[in-house]
Amino acid sequence: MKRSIFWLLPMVLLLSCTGCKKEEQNIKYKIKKAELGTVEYTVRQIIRNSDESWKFFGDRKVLFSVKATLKAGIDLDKLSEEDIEVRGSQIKITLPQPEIVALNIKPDDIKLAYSKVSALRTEYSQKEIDEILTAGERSIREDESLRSSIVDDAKANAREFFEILLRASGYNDIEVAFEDE
Amino acid sequence: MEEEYNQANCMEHGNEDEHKIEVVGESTNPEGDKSSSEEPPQSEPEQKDAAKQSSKIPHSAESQPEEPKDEDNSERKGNLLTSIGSLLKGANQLVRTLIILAVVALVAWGIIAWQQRAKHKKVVRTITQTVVEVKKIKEFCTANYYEETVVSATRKKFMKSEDLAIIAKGTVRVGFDLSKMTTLLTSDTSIVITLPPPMVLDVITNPSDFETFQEDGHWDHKEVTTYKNLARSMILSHAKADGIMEDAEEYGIEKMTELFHRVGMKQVTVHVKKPEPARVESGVPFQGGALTVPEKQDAAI
Repeated sequence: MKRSIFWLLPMVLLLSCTGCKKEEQNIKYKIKKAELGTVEYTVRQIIRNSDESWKFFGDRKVLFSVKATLKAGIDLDKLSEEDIEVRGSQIKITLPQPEIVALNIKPDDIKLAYSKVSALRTEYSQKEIDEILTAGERSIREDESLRSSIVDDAKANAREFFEILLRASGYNDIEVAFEDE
Repeated sequence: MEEEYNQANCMEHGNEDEHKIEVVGESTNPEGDKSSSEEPPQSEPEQKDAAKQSSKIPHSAESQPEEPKDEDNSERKGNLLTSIGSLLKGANQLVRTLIILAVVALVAWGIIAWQQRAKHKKVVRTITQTVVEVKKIKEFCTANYYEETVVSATRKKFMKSEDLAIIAKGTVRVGFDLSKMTTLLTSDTSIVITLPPPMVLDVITNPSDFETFQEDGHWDHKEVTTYKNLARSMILSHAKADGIMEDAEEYGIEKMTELFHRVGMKQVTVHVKKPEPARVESGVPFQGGALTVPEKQDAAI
């Protein structure tokens, strides 16, 4: 018995030490990009959650007001030499389809507008709040009407930007097209 | 008589099985055997009558005495009633226990079903978002910095400490505001471009980029927002320290040169303005960021 304890103790200590080992290093990396953002949308959203489970013990409701910023534009890394045709003072450029290049919801732009938790219920944990806000973020990303609207605007602005740029480069006859059109 | 009594008893209690059990018990009753052994020898006619009678009564009752004593009868009757009573009592208790168990099971099932249903009901409802502003921009993002970091806090509350640890993922987008870009066409095939200094376009830390790793006690939304902002500023300062601005400038010049070469320019010169404050105040002439790209022979397509 004593012998087994003699071996067991160092094993337990070893296991407990490996379990609480802290990873100090942060993960980080850099990427080169060439994104031309041409439009920015500011979106306001109300996210509400009504927790129906354990309703017998009272209500648990929360309501957030969120401001999000979306940017859409062209990924110029996708622009290849074949996409540009020059004939004298004529130029035709075929741009890739615009896409949403950034969605930004700053922590300061998330306001807790209303919260009601009855005495017999526990407060919303931070994990639950993260889930609720993430669902709100997802709904912005998956909003098709918003996406098509911002992409259309990005397309129009990109066309305008390249027309100005190419005119400044000495071209008179400019055609700006988009892939798959 | 005995049979009549047994039948009456059976009718009275309405349980034939119990009656039978009792009868079987009596046939092995040593007292009954004893009483039968004590009977005087019978004469031939009497034996015949007895044989006749015995042919009428059931087999199980054959071993019983023809005329049991009143005491035995009353005693047996008492025993029978007691045993039936105790049996019924036992049965009652069993039924009662079964009913209680069934009710408990029903209530438990109800709670579980209610919980399951409530879980499905626990839905985040999002009111449709409204676009409040549309802005035309000309941002040229040339470098992204990505970092995953941890912010943690501890507070003392009622003799115990409460921890909060948040894992934050952030993206820093750096690039140029092309609305401040200027171009100067020096010849048909050469151009001078002046870009503004690179700037931080966005620090993106969306709700999905945060993960609460540890949370003891309840942390107020404002407190948590403070720590999330701390994570943002940490990521931004790390990005700057890691040279993201220089990378953005370098790649911006490279990409802009490449773009103008592709549209037919043979000589492209790209300048990047340096951040203003120190230079303007000290009156130092603009120097930095100029890069003259050698003539590209096959730029025109």
